[in-house]
Amino acid sequence: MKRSLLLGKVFLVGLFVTVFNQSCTNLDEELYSEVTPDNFFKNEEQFVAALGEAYGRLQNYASNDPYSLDEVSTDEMVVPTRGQDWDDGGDWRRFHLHAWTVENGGLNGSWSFGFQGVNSCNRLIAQFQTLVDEGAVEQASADAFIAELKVLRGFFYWKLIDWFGDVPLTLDFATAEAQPSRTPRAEVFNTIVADLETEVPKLPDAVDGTTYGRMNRWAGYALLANMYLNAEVYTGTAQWAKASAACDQIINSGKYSLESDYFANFNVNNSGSSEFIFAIPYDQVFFTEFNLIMRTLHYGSQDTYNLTAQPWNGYCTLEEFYNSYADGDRRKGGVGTVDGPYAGRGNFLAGYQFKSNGDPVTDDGFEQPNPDRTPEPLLGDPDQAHLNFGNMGSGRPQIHELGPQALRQDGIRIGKWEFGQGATNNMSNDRAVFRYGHILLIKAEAEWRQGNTAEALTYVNQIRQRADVPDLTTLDGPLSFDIAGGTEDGGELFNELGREMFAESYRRMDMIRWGYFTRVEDWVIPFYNPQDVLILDEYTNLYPVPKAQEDSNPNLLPRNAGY
Amino acid sequence: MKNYLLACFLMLIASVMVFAQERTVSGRVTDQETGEGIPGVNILLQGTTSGSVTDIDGNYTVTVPSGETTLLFSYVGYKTQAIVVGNQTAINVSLESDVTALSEIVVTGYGTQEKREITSSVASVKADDFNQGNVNDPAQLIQGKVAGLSISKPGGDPNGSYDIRLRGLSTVGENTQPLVVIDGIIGGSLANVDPSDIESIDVLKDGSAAAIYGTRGSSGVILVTTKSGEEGRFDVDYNGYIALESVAKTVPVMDATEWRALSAETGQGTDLGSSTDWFKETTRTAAQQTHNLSLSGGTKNTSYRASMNYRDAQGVAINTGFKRLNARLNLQQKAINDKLTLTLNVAGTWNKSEYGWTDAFRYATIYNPTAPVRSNDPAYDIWDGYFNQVLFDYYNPVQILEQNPNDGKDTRVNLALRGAYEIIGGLTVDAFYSLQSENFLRGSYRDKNSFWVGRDRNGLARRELDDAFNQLFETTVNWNGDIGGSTNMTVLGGYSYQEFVNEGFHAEGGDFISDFFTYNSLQAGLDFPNGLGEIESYKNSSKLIAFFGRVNVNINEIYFISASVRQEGSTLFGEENKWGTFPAISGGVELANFLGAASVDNLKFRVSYGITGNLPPDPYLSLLRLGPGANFFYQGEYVPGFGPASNANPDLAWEKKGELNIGIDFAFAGSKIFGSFDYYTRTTTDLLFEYGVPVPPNLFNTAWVNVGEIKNSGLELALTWNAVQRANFNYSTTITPTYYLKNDLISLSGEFQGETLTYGSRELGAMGAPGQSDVPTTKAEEGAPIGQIWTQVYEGISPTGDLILQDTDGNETVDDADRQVTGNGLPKFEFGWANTFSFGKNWDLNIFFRAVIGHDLLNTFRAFYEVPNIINSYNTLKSSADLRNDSTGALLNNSSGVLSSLHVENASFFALDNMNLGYNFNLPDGAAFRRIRVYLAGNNLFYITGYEGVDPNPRYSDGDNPLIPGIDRRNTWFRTRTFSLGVNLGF
Repeated sequence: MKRSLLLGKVFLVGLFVTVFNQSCTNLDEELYSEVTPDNFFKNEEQFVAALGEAYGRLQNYASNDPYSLDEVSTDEMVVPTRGQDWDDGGDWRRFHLHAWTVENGGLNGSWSFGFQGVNSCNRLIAQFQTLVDEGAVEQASADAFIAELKVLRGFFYWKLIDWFGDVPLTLDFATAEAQPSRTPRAEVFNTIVADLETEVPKLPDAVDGTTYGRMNRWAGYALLANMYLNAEVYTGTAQWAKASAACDQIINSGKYSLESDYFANFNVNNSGSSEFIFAIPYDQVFFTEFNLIMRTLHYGSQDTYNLTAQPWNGYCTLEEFYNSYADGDRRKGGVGTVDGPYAGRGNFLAGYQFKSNGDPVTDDGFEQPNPDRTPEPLLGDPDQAHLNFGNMGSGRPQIHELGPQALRQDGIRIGKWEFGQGATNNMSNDRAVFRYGHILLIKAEAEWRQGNTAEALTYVNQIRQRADVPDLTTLDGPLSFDIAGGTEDGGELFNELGREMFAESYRRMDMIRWGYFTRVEDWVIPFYNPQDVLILDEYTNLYPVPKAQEDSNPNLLPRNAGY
Repeated sequence: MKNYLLACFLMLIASVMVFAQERTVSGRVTDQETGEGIPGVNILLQGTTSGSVTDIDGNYTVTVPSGETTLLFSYVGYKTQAIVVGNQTAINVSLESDVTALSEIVVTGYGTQEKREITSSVASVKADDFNQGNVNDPAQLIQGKVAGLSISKPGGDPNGSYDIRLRGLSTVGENTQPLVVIDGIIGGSLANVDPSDIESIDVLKDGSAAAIYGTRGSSGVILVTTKSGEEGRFDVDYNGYIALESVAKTVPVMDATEWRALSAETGQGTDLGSSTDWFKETTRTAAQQTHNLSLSGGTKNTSYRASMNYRDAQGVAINTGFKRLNARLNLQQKAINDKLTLTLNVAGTWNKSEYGWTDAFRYATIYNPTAPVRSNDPAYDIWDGYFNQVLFDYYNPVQILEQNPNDGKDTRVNLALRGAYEIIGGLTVDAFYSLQSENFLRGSYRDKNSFWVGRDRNGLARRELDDAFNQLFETTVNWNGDIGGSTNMTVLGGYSYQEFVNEGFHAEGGDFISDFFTYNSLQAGLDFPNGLGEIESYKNSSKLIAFFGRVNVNINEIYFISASVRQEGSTLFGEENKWGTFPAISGGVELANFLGAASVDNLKFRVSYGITGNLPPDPYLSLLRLGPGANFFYQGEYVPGFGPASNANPDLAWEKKGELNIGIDFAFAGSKIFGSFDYYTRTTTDLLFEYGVPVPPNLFNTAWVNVGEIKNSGLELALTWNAVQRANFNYSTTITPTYYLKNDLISLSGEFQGETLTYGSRELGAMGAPGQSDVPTTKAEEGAPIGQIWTQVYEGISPTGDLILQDTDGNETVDDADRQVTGNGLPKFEFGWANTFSFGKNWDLNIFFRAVIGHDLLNTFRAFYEVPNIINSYNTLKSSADLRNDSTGALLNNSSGVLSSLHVENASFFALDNMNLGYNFNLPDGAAFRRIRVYLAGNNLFYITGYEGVDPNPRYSDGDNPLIPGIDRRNTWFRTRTFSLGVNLGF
């Protein structure tokens, strides 16, 4: 019994000692798979990783919300509601009808895209400066990073004022307000342009692996060219000459040239195209989210490309826009027939579709006619119909209605970027933001605006020659969305911008600059839902600040006029 | 130790031998009050397992060995009497009814109290009162038994767990479920206790009772006590049952005939020629078997109970179910002149599950009833002969369940050792150590020819391993004694240290050469070398440290006071707020003594107030962390981009809940009627919420902050009436109604880093694809009740078949701005109604009803598929054919679902939860068995409800978001009904 007593005491005392020795009140967190600033920013590789975070903010540019804002509200693109698909509370139809509200899908994501980019740049500028102040980094090497970040910030601000007009202007992280109010669009424009004019010349002029996917000097001029080009929209004062001069910087550098094949810019392996001034290096593994392949292709297209995911059957082009390309325009491409797939790749996927093994793609999602519909009954796809994008050759409308009963095969699809065999839902094609071909057209427009039509024509015709279409002798003509209509000054130049830059996120900007954006009635597709309305008003030239942002910052009020 | 056990064993043998010389004692057992004979009274020779029971008139005969022997007379509802036999041969006994309501022992956390001394709101359910029948989860044992405790599991997923809520929702964080304490192991997992090993479940309902658990007490505390051995017995018990579970309710979609009729009318949809009941094809009558074997017993110094439980349950969906083996050992040993008590608890559970895929339920619901399951057409060879159509989100559900394994193996081990040493009389020091280890291994594979995902990815395998480990050390000092007069006092002081470590990894990838490997050879998948595989690993840890104390005072059995405080710190809190204080005070007065009415046995009025906390859901939320963002293309190659992944919040603290409880405990007429009534009101402030914050000045766009306020209040009653207590018939009934007065979100606004955060009202939830991705389901609004379902308002169908929605704001357009509150997902009223009958000494019958009233469910099945025109793609609900204009008979012509008030349904229900009929065999003296009982039980026998969906039980959250209750999602398992046949054997 004595031994038991002893053992019992040892047991109790032992337990006490074990635990109390072990920090009986220490509550510091112990980390294993998380990183805090205490254990980061220790070497060059980690600085680069920090810089990379700012470029990472570009990830959503090509496919998600920003893309919809720039394209789905224009005559280039539409997302019909096919039965239940793509109803989404009417968001997509509202894009087409210019009936968006402060709560429309796409707005908040785009606002965040812009400001997360701005904020990352501001934060890193401050952090690099701190590292210099602490003596951890040489001023010279920090300056290079800082100039680059300021130009990247300029890009994000350009998108923000373009979409939303007046936006908060925050350039210094340390003194930033939590709930800033909005700065007038012109003031933001002037401040950013002045900043760019200072910083762009500091950027490296190399066009090689060291600057690919990053802001070099020429990317900076391309950004400036775009901003000057739209200066009248942003400030009320045109800056055509400056736009032209910025283009000259790039053209005269001799560093870029047109690819002989237009599609060299859009193939899966398009890295290092001689036209790329600034491209986002999307990759199915390393830099994902370029998912147009999912957004545009039909479910059945999976067997055409052996995709690893079933596409979503959404984005299409509009009939008038498709027809604004001449037959034989290499950019238009061929049409699949009932006997075989299209010959000649183009910006579009039109007509009959085939599996990779040559069998027809059929649609199991037959849509039958509804005889009770008013104003008029819909036609239906026959059961097991051979999939025919845009009902080519059938005499039926390409898109029967905007919704809710657009047919599943309605609409010609966006095939501009090559879809690789066995592709995943993230495309590996790099995505040009600034491309030499576009710079030539900006140059052309800037000259035409200044009355130099002849010079403008030479640039336009460089683009047309590559597309195998005859040279233009005049820039006037009927507009792409109204081909049956009368001749408009510069109409063909406007059309050429569309044809060349289709689906590259410039259409809304171009239409606003040309004053056509609110002429929706010219390209609107019949719509059916009683709730749907068409808005024809100048106020839609600006998107509203999204409701979610207003909620967290009342200083963003009042709303843009009209909302 | 070995010698000791051997000694026990020998002692037992010896005592059996002593009993060899026998004589007979007989007599009658009567009720002290009525004088009537009591049938079925247990008569036991103390220290043995032999004895007898009284017959229908209360007469008994028992064989007694010579020598000094004591007989124990015991019967439920009466005080046990011990009588020394001596030389008597006739012994009549009158038993005194036991005021069980008062002397019942209640577990209160770090101790026990008699019910009459309790001054806070605590409910105790003993094994006798547990729900019976096919019970696989401890939560089922007390479903409906405790007022204010909601336990819900919509649908019959055999691997699903129960959602437990106490007194509504008082947090918007993740810890909405009560803290579980199993034999002192804090944060224990109910999945590691077999229901048949549980002795009692005690629920600490109010703030003052739960405050002793500090930062984890806000959602209530459930204390589970497992069975242990009893001195003087040596029992072997076997319980086993077989059960058949079948589908009780599916979504009412059209069968092939109805579908063809509607197709003919709308001119839509294609008849594929077959007639398939997809529910029948994907489900079955599931067979289950359960076996529990326990050995228990004890001597003066040692007691033990060991049990082994085996459960093999099929699910009603094909290829689903689980097999579970659980073992538990409770061992107690006294030493050092009984001053030291050592208790060892060891438990382990090994569970193998086949989960199936809930998507299959959605596809079974929407699949065309004229489609065949399989086809011989070679065109379908690519899908292994299963019929499929290429439509959006539309897959053959039979193929999903038959082709794609989704398995898991859970291993849970608990170990606890307690040493209690009585230093001097009344003063005890207690040290407790426990560890809990939980390990979850999952594997799933999508076949190369599975049209659902597998074919896209050329086979897709996934492996997951998660490991959770925690250790608890606690030490307490306890003193109990009189402090003058008739005042008794109990004082407790303690220290607690608990450390949690979670780690694991998962990997997923596809592109396999063969289906042979399933998930067993990830390296065979080419996705990994191609960079398309996903790999992740993690590890985190946290610590909780606490000092606590409690004083209970009992003055003359009339006044009772209890006060406690816990000072607790956690690594999860911000640097500035590591420690919190959680005080509680409560008092009660026994009015029965003043009233002096003989019929009033107990009338205790009590008031309590306590403050409890709630922890942040994850470690490191108060720190500024950097995380990987998108990669960066740098000098020709991708490098990782790193940026802020969270904001620092050094002020991050616990959620704080203050709760006032006013209650009355009562017992009348010799405890024929007893129960308690409670009113509570609780206010939770400093809610832990992930807020969107501006960047700059913040580095990251969300932050965990303490904001806002939630208020709840309610009324609870627990009432038992022993209505009939006759010789050959007993009936007692218990009701446990709860009425929720208020469950409001007062505010979710607050401050962070000096900036005001304003919540206002927000639209939450999303219906989802197809076509309703951005359609919200719920409105969370400051100053309004939680759970507001938020939709447009259905008005009717126009003469041409158009859907008419109300223009509620009168602006002549119908749009999102016309959304209204069209329901609430949280119940107003709940009750359980238990009925216990016994007929003679052989038959017993339990019938348990449960009702939940006043909640709505958003029936998403209808919102998506109750559209006549949809049959060109999907099957539709039977009710689609009724969506017509009254005068023209025109069918609704929309081709897509538009969410409206039409899909919000009152889901109040009244259910027969379980019913159990048992028969106890009369056993002759000296039989090999101590007890033989057979029973037939039914679970979920019927629901009376107007809800058209599968299961009207409340949905307390959506995903993990408790602000979105009441959404009946399309992946819910079908409701099931179970019949079981079982036997209890005692040796």
